[in-house]
Amino acid sequence: MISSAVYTVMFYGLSAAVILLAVLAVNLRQLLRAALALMGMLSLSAGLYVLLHAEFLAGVQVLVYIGGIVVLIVFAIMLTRSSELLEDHPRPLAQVLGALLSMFFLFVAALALRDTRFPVQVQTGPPVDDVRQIGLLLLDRGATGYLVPFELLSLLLLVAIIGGTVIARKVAPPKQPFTTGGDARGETITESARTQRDIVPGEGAP
Amino acid sequence: MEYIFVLAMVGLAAAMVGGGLFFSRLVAPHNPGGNKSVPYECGEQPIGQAWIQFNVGYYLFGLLFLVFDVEAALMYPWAVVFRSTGLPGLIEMLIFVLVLVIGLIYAWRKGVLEWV
Repeated sequence: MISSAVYTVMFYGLSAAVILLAVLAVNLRQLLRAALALMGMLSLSAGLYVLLHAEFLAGVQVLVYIGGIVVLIVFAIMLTRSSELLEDHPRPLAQVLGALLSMFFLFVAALALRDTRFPVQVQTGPPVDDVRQIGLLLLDRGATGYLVPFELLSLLLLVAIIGGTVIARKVAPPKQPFTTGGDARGETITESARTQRDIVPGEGAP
Repeated sequence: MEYIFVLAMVGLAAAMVGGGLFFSRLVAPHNPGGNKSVPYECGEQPIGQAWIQFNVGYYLFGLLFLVFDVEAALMYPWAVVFRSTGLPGLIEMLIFVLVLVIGLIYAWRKGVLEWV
């Protein structure tokens, strides 16, 4: 078993690194560096879950958040016009409002954490298999099981697919040529949003 | 604790990457300028900026991947208890997967899976 001193050191070290990387992810101007910082922050929070013996959650964190959601966020940012993003300097009023809202959220979160009673289970005997218990609870049809939320989850994911498809297809026409750059006719890429759509498929670069 | 190996692995990996960067900085000549700072495009001169507007197809593929990523993550606990839950567990999981397959078919019919 891990000694409490090592545990404390690891907890504070991981937490400090997570906070540092989160601040970097928000403040870095280069998209890829910010994405890397976000990935580092998420993987280190997976380390925090491991410290809490929530191995399944840590695995899901790595698989879903780092593997999927960061990539999705990067794609979503790449869909926007890059020049707008780089020249985006929010006005002081917006900055103050943002800071106030963030502090309000922090306050509410701290209140919620303070008023929640977390039941402490003193564990005796051999450690239980975490993933096994989750599996049994997810498929349990009884009153204590989570079968209905589990099946509803698939509906939620279905809504995500359909909603994403419907919204994104309004943004772009279906026959937009696949391209990673605007080099088909040698035009500069800053005006790619308009010109790429006019390129006839088949005329593109090799 | 078994995670000591993870820590050792992280330390080793960081030392390898950091050591490589450190020694190459120590040994390699350093005179930047000219074409050296141009992004590498397999020998071609890049036109315009590297940060362009992406095709929306990437985003939809990413979204589809994410949905089935979550599905795969939720299948792990089921796989662990597969023997004890038996046929009812299989049916429950099949319902879960079938609902997602409806989404996949929808996306397919709407042409999300087609490039160009």
